[in-house]
Amino acid sequence: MDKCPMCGARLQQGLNYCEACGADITIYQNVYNDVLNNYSQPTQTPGYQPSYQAYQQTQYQTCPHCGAQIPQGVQFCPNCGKEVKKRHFW
Amino acid sequence: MVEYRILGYDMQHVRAYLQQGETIFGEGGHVVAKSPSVSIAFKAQGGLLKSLEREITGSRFFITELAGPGMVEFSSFLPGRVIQIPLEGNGIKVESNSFLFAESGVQYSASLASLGAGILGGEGIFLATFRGRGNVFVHALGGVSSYVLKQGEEIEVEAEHLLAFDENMQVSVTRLGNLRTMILGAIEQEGLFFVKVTGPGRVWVHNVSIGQLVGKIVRNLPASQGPGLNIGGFQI
Repeated sequence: MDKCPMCGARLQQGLNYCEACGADITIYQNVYNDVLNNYSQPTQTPGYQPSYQAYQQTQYQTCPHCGAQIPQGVQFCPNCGKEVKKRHFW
Repeated sequence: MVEYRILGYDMQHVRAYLQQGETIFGEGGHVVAKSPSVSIAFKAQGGLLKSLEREITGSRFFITELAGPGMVEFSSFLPGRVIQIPLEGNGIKVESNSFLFAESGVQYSASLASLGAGILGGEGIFLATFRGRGNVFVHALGGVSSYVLKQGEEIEVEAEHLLAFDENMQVSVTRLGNLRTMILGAIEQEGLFFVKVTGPGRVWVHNVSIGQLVGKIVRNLPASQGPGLNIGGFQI
């Protein structure tokens, strides 16, 4: 890493934090992977262990925007990023 | 692929070079310069309801859409840094005044992330949500401080200073303390509400808040123009 992943400033060699924004860059990749993992796994109730069979039975639907095959029940298309079904806050 | 150059040191601005057919969209009022070949259109992105949501939550109904080919430059109204946040199918929440522009693969919607936070935190805690694929550019007033929080790690950020955080993070509002602390806090211009953000995720924080800046400026205005009641030259 030669640039800070948080703010884009040049990183100083040998420091484990960014001099511009103070981010701890040693744990950045782990935390970012954690964040991305939240999106790849379907939301489940705690304690529920997905079995291999359940994985096999994943239903697919077609994205109305780009036509890709996407898992049933996702809010956003993993291919084009658009909202599959519009949801409003009220 | 759009090419970006983040320029400047303390007052950063960002220049985007668009190819034919590429579009970016941004919040109105941030475009500084553009090539004559770049066309501007104002669109209610996401339809009428999404646009109304944005309007209600402190953002704009219409979004400026810029189509290439050519160059566009964006800047903010105060010194500060431009931050590029790439999205890979994940989402971020941004204080809506700080949004500069995003690529066309990104969906822009508004959210009342936490009703308590929105009402109690005052200005700017109505959040804009960005999801999808592509880069989002935001502007940090004064400068940026950022935190990378591990699982379960918490941080309290003064409500007006909060810039952006990952969508999956838990947010709640905490008061400064008891009534006495809050009154003294208001006098000392310390923030009254803190937003507690729980990891894992990334948090970006402004170094300057508009509220504090205005507070300091108002104190130095000539008495006749300041706020409050003016009785014979004395101001209450």
